[in-house]
Amino acid sequence: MARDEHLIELYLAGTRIASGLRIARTFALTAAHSLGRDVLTAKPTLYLRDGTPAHILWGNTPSDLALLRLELNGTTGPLSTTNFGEAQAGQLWRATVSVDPKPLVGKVVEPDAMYHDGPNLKVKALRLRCERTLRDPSAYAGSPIEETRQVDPPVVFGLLVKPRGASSEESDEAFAISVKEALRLFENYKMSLPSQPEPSAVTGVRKAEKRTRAGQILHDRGYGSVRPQWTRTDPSRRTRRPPEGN
Amino acid sequence: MNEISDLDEAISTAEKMAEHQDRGPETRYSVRESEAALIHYVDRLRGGQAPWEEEPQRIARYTHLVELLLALGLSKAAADLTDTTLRTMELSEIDQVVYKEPELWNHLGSLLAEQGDLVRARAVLNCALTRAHEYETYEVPAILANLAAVSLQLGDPKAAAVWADKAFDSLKYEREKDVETRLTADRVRLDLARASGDDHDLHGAVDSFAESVALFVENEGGEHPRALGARIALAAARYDADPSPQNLAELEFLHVSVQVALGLEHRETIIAQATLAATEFAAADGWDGQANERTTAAVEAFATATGRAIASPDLGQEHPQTHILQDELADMRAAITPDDELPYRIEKVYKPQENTERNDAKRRALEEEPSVIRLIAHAGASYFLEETRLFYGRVKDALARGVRFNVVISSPWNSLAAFMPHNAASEPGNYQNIVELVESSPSYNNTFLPVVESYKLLRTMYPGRIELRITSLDVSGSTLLTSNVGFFEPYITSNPQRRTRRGMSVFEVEFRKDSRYYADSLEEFRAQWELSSTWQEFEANQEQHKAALRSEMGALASVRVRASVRRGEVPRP
Repeated sequence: MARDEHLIELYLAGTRIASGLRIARTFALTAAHSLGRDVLTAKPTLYLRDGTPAHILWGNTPSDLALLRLELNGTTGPLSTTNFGEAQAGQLWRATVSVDPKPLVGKVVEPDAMYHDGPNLKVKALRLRCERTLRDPSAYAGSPIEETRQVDPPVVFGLLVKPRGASSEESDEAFAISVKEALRLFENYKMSLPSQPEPSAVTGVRKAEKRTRAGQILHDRGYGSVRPQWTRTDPSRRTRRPPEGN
Repeated sequence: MNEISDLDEAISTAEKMAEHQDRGPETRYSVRESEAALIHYVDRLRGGQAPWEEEPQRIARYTHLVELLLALGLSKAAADLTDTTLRTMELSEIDQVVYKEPELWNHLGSLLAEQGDLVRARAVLNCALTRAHEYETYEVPAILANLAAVSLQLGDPKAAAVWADKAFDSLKYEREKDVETRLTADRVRLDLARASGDDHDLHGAVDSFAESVALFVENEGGEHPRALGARIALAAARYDADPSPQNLAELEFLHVSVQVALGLEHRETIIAQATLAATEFAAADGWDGQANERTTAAVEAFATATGRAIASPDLGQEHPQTHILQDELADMRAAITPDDELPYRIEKVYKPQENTERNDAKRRALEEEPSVIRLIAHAGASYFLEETRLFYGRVKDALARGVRFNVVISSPWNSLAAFMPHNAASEPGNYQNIVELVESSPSYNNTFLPVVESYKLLRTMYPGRIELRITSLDVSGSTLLTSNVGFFEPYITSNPQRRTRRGMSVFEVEFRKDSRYYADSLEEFRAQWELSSTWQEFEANQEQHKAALRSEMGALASVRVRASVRRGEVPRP
């Protein structure tokens, strides 16, 4: 399996316009500003390097995120081996895309930083410190970021987006929308639609309850009732071998 | 290490650890100290060196401590404390009922199931139900739902269906807990409907479970691990009901959500990955033997999930859920790999000093078998004779639940009879006396004939489910094959006296279905099966077999005069 199978490149009329993060065989994220306002509005069909059509489902300027649906045309590829995870403060990361010869690496400073605080929408992001100052932090937007441990497949944290606010000055600070936050935003968007044709991420706000933290941990574990097991398909309904007579 | 003096201090220590679990490396030393103190406290409780408190409220606190130990990954201490709690409760009730509260028993039953001890979980839940009926409490639906889930895991779908339906009917939605109860009962009904293959049942179960999931999410939030697990199960069932690319994409998308919400090592993430991989494997026609990039990647993903289950403190190597994953993985691998390309993979080698573990593994394999058990053995005493205290009970239980048992054993008249012992006064075996020697031998009278009698009795009790065949060919070892695993113990000697009823004297290998050993053993079984006689044929042709043995002994006469044989340097044939 390719090490960077989670990385995609998007083309419009033969020109590469952005990179992005493939989160499933049929879905990917990219940085909205990389697509540009006109593309976000007109939603033309984009293409991956191998010619797979990519349709813009949803673009959101405050979060700088766009969600794409990839059209597989009956040639569903194998399941991705990419792992996704949540970054912790102090964790080291690297950008999957290399703009410079030296890969961009850094440390997570704040995993839950406010990225956009509007009246109707709040967006959280990973606030990152880069190992070197970037002349144009936006240049890396659209690149997935991943854990630096040499594991294969890598654990992907999120997608680099443009700097917070309108800043494009050189800086060693960068922002990434985590996969978890992207799924939350997408779910919120979906809930606002009259119908729900697209896949559902996990959301839902827990009711506030008076529990200690340890009590909450145990409650979340749910030891009070038997946890159903994963069960197998009945072998007689699926085996390729002929029924055995002895 | 500071010693923990009492239950409250133990709980306080465990709660602090749980609250600081993710605080990073700076607390690692104190965490290790606290872990050691908790383990030591549980050891002292077991040994009677720390005070035990018997009041029901305190028992509830011990149960709370078990939960905390589980959450901290201290599974051995959790199992020990569960044992100690149950043992002292049972002993306290010698003369009268002390623990009337069904919730105490229900909670302990759930914790036993969580730890994979399903048989005891069912017994404790039954006790909870008795108390609940006796003292008319609200706990009844929750206990019924737990009994349904445990029964299903124990391979008793009929009982599971009865418990689940009853749980559903008993719900009054007066308490928050009822939402969780409904989720459990409905999940059991969903799994039963998926197994039934009835589309109408499946659609109804999917709709009902979807409602249960929505209620649970409304109460607990979508990121509650139970909610995530339920949503994965629902997505997989929706794919079963309607195998569309959209439903598969939904499952894939949810798997990403579970990963980022709970982390890669969480039990629900492991199950989500296994669910997605198994669904993908079926979708790409893996069960039809299609070896392509999709089925291969699905097997790899399933193998990753299985590896994580083995490494997980919540599951681990011995948990029934892990066994299910291992069995499925072996089936998936075997389905897309031609037999002659399967690797010679050995799951475990048992040496003579590991006889108990070997027997436990075989018992477990017999307990878990849903369809057919195959056995090649020299005599089969371990499986047919109750007095050996080995597998007779498990075989009977398997037959009772509809499993077939096909057995091939050695004929007493094959050439190995040449090793028949004789007393000093009598002649060694020769063409004249060999049949009488066999007929008067302990192995014939104490093993072969009793095994045949046991077979006849079992055949009367379970007609059509058991068949014993007798082979005149030598067998190279004892082979036990269930649908998922195989065991092979080679015979190092041709002397039958040193083959049977001797424990393990060589070694035994255990392998799964994705091993070439399994395929080869199955082929060998089929050959032996075809080349052996049914009991009726054997009875009808016994005189011919005896005559053949006499003739063989005559041919061996020249060997007998060799000096080395006469001196006893080799066993006498």
